[in-house]
Amino acid sequence: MAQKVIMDVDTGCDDAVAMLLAGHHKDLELVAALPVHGNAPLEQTIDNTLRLLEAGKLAHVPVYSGAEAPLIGPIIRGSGDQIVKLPFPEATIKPQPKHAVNFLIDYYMSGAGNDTIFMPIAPLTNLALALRIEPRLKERIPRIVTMGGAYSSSFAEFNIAADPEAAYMVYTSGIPITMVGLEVTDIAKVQQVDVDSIRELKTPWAIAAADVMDIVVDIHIKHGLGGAIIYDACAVAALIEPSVMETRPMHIEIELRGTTTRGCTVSDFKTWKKQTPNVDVGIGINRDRFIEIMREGLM
Amino acid sequence: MTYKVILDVDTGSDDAIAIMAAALSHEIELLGITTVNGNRNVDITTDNTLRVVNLLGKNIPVYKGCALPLVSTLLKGRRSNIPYKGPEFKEEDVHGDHIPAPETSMTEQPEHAVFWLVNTLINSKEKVTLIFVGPLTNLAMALRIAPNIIENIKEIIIMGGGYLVNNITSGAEFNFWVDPEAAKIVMDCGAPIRLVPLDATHAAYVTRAEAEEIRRLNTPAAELCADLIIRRIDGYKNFQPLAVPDAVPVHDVLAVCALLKPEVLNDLMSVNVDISFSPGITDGMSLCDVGSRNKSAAHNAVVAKSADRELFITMLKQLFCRSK
Repeated sequence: MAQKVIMDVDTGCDDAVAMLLAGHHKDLELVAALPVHGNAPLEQTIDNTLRLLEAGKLAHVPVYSGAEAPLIGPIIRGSGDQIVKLPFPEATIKPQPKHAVNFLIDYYMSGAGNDTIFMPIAPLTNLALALRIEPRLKERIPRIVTMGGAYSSSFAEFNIAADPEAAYMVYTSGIPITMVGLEVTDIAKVQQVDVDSIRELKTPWAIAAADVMDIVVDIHIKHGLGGAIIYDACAVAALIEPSVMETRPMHIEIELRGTTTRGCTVSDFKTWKKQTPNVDVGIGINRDRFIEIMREGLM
Repeated sequence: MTYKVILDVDTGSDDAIAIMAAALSHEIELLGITTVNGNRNVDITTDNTLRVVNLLGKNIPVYKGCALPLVSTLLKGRRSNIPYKGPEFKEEDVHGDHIPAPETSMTEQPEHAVFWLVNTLINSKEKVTLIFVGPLTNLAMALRIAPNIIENIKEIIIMGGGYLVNNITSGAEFNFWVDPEAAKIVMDCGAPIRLVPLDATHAAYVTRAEAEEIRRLNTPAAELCADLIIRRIDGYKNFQPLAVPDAVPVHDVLAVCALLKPEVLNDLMSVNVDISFSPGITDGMSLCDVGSRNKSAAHNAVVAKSADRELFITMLKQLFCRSK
């Protein structure tokens, strides 16, 4: 049976590839997409999500709009290259009338979500708001697989930095978490030849993914990264095939103050303080297998 | 003239009096009461709210709200005593856990206060007045979920903050101190705000003799009102003594009176009110920028520095002589 997943997104190029992969891989069922503020203002992440789903033949996936600002702010945006209007026609589908926070509570509290993974690949505002309103939600979400954080960096990763208080609430909630951070995403570089091999699959969704990744390859090569980092797609691959990513249980805490470290995922990965691990943290990924999983999913 | 009103409370002795005043006023159509964590945990404040509604024999829906502030409890040690269990010295406790009104089997509505606020405001055909007399968590959450609700807010009257008078710390008033971030979100939301700070509520003190006069109005509401005020007077005596002996502020009901007769508030100033989140003694402090030092900050509230005590007492007596 396919693994059900709800994706919380700030679409975004890498979110787009992640949703195409989750929506078309035979092992996953994409239950809903919840756009939130993040890489771009909410209005644009909603618009991008709708365009992507329609162009990627995923128009049946319901979209519930989420929060337009972090819990307490201030709003920060990713680097300018992330704020891209996706190269797809304007969508005819519309978001559902229900708010993402309301949907999360209704869906999980109804019992429908006992086996549904929650996958935030964006700031964690929606789930944090839902937890404040319905604290029992923490007993209903079986696992979170998230793109965010960095266990070995002294600078904060964007998704956490964009709403540190929300991240704090989620990371201390007790919900089992698999964290796919920058240590994983930054070594899963996608080259032009990989994108071309995906384009050759010739399905509308493979072509859509290739169109988006072409943009990212271009930008990231220009920035000297030596390949495209498709952050969010790594989290989907790790859900499809957990063995693609090596993990280690760690104690992670979110820095809320700090003059330069607000939003850091402070990790006790050497277990100096003997704290109980609360997160399974990705520490490595099989890059070639990651590309294979994308090809299999987008076939 | 009638006002459509949503009242948000953390009942609480003075909240109970505010609920009764709003429900007894013929000019207020109370759409519902939302409850929040504050004077006690939200289960207790909700139970107390239902007791008051039951005592009044009114059919006013009650919606339970947030159990914790937006973020103030996250930082270790910042708000370790929230949910609040009362002051260290029991003699100082002006609320107690449960208010002295009969228990009730009435229950709150199934919908959460935040969603009910959002849905009610979005679907309302006319603008609604909000009277918020507890920590501002529910409204901040509603604004985060649906910022467009401000289009249907006529005015927000808030009991909270202090200009020169404070209570829970030397820098902060209790409601703002419990959830400073929510206070900031609400103060900056763009809706018209009238702030009723401690300066105004302390000017509108009620004496023991006046509480006994209210008791003699001889209604169940008047009797409960008198009991609650007497308890407050006893609690304030040794811990927050006023210049006038045997008297006490009854904060929250002044916000209700301010809707009915705006002239009950005195010494008004239009200013920018900002909230401090700094660690230490100013955490939760409301700062009125009276000299307009912050040029980029627009006036976001009308703040009352004082109140017309005589008018306030007259209003209380007029409201509490009614049994319906």
